[in-house]
Amino acid sequence: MLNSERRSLARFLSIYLLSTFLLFSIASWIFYDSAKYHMLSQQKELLGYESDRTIAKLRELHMSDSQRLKYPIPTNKINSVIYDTDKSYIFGTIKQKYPTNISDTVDTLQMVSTIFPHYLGAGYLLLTKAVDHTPMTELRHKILLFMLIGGLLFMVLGYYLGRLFVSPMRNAMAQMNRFIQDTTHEMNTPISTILTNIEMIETFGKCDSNADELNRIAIASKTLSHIYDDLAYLNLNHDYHRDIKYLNLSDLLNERLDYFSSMYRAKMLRVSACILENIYLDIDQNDAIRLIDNIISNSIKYNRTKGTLSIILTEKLLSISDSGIGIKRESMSIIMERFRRVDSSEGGFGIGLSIIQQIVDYYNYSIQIESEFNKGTKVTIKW
Amino acid sequence: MVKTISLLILCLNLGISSETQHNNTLDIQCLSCHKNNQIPSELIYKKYLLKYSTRSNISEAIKSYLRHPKRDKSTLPQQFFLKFPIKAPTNLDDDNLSEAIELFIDYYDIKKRLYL
Repeated sequence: MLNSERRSLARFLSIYLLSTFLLFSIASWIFYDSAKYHMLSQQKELLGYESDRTIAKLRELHMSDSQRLKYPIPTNKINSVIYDTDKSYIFGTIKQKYPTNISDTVDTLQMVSTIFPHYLGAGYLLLTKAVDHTPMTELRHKILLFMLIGGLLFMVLGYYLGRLFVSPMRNAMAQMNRFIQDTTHEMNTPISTILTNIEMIETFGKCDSNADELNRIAIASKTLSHIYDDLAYLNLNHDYHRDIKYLNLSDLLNERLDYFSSMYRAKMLRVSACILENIYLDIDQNDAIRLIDNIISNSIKYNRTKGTLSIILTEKLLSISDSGIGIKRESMSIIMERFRRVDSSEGGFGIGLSIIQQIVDYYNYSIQIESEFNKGTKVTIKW
Repeated sequence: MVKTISLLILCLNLGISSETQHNNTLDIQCLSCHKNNQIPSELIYKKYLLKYSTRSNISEAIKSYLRHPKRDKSTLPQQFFLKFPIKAPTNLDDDNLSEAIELFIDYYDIKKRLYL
């Protein structure tokens, strides 16, 4: 799966799951609130039923001739107390003063019934009951379980939906990758042939009258070869096996400068190279070539004719600066994106800096790009 | 020692005689007549309890009735007065009447008879 595809899928899934979760939460809350109200009402109904039953029993006791009167004890763990019309305590299953506030609390349900005629002298009957939280707790657990199972189901569904939605993009990307792969493959042989033959002419042939033309062909071929290498690198990046070894970066940098010599000479650049000898780095050779080539190539490509190119290699950093067109401040944040080109005056696909960033990230190097529009750019890689 | 025991016996005797005197006030002034005329005292108490609920209200209502007995003040059904005449106003002084009423209420107090 491509990074862009993975990112799109992750964004879609997060929005989809978040909105589903919010919707579920609101619906569950409304349902829970309603069910809780219903459950509390049911418990409160018991108080009403017990109130009628107790008053009937009080009536029986009042009529009784017995010397000992057994106070009716309500069922369902309900407490009952009778008070006279002055709200003074008469008798009850608990000794409790007449409450100042009769409304229900989180943990207690209360009900006061007036009694008339005043059986046993009672003017008020107070019934209290501790709220049974068990059904509410069970319901909460059920809702949580439902949300968990629902969440998992929606996550799976969302994943497949997401894959379905990004499949056109995936197909387009795959098609483009295939096209690049085929194109680069078809480009490789003729470019190699041209470059080899130019080298042979330069080595064995005598072609002084056409030296300039031959040089231009060599530059064009090297540009093509560079583009080919970048595209091939990007294309193979996912399953590319790196051969990391202790590489002499100084030699490699000199070699690559020599490779680009025909290009910077054609642009009449003044090159100043301060390359310390025997600077070694643990890096794959192809990665190092792509890193150096892309920075030098950009510095030549976007430089002015008769401009300057400065290269510094120390034990800690590689710095390449040019006197080119520079980059506008507002474009600095997007220059690392693949296929992003902030200046179309020169050729290319906008993949150079993306490759540099990938290599820097892979080896945990740091990159610093300082640029001033119309003055030049300085790229520093530190390790 | 002998003095102490004698004093204790005297106090106990005084306490018992005072209690008896109280009971006697209720018996003599109220219950004896009720018994003779077969007037159910407990029923009357329950009637007052049913109507007035609190001790102070009951006490006040009984006192009011005993001072100025009228049919509409009585808690007994009107048919009762077809058979029995309405009683004469009490000639007890206020203290004795109040005491007798308190004793009457205490004697039949429903709270004392209730249990769980």
